[in-house]
Amino acid sequence: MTTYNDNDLLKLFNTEGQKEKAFLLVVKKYQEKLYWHVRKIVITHEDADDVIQNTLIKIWKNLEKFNANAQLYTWLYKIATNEALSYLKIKKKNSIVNYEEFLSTTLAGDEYFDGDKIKLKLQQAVLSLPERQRLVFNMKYYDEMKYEEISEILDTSIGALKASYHHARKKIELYFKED
Amino acid sequence: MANKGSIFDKIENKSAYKVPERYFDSLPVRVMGSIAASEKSSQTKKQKLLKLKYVFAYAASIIGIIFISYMGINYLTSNRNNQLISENDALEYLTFYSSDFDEASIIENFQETNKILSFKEDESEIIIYYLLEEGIDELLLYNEL
Repeated sequence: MTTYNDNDLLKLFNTEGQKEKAFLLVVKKYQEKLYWHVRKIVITHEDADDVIQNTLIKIWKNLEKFNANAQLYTWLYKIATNEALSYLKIKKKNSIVNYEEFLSTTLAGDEYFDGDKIKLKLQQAVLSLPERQRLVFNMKYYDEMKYEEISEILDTSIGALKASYHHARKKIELYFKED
Repeated sequence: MANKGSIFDKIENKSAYKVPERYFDSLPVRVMGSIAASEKSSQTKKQKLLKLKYVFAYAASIIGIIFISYMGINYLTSNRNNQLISENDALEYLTFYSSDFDEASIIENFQETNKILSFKEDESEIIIYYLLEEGIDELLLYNEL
């Protein structure tokens, strides 16, 4: 199977009659990374599935306008992050209880969560973080992204990101010590 | 990456989340299906909007024609009304403002326009006959004239 880099995919997308093929290649290349990124924000598989579909539809609609000078990878992450955060906002608005606490308590019974006790506790600690810190922590700790990449996706300075990550780690450590 | 003795040393940074079996195989197909459906619905919306656009344009042109016709008729009617003075208005005007005109200027005006009243021969006879019939005193008439 031929492997395409991002520029090749963009060229193919803008070639007449090749749009669908190019898009499918983009989806296949990035779907897992985007899904896991979204999943860590919205937590449940059902919600992540909704968000990832909306994200990919948005990508399809806007890929033509994508500025080739930017990185496709960060642009895709940006769309996915915004979609997930908007989705979460609506969920929180419609929830009568604290939504993070609700997710934290239901996580243990989630059929698509396969963690041991310590992993479950780590997830619950992450869920107790403020939204921005949670986002930075997930991208740095789980996705092992560089600060430069996170900075581009979240439109935040590297200094602020380092501080957020540092605070997040401290809070999680404290969460484990207190328990 | 992690500090020594930190909780992060004890935990692998692999996510514990799972997805249903073959989820990533079916996702592209489902996404393409959703895209096709959303494009179809947006196309239908566009077609509906286009139809509505024509209906609005048609309605607007009819309203425009009616408005222009109304304004035209209104303009013409008001002009005619301005030009014509009804007999009653003229009579009323002359009754109330007859003192504004002096006799000399009226006669002068008639002379200028060659509209001096004159009676033809046969008309004079008819008038005299009429006056006699009515029993008007001839002497009084002469004196008045």
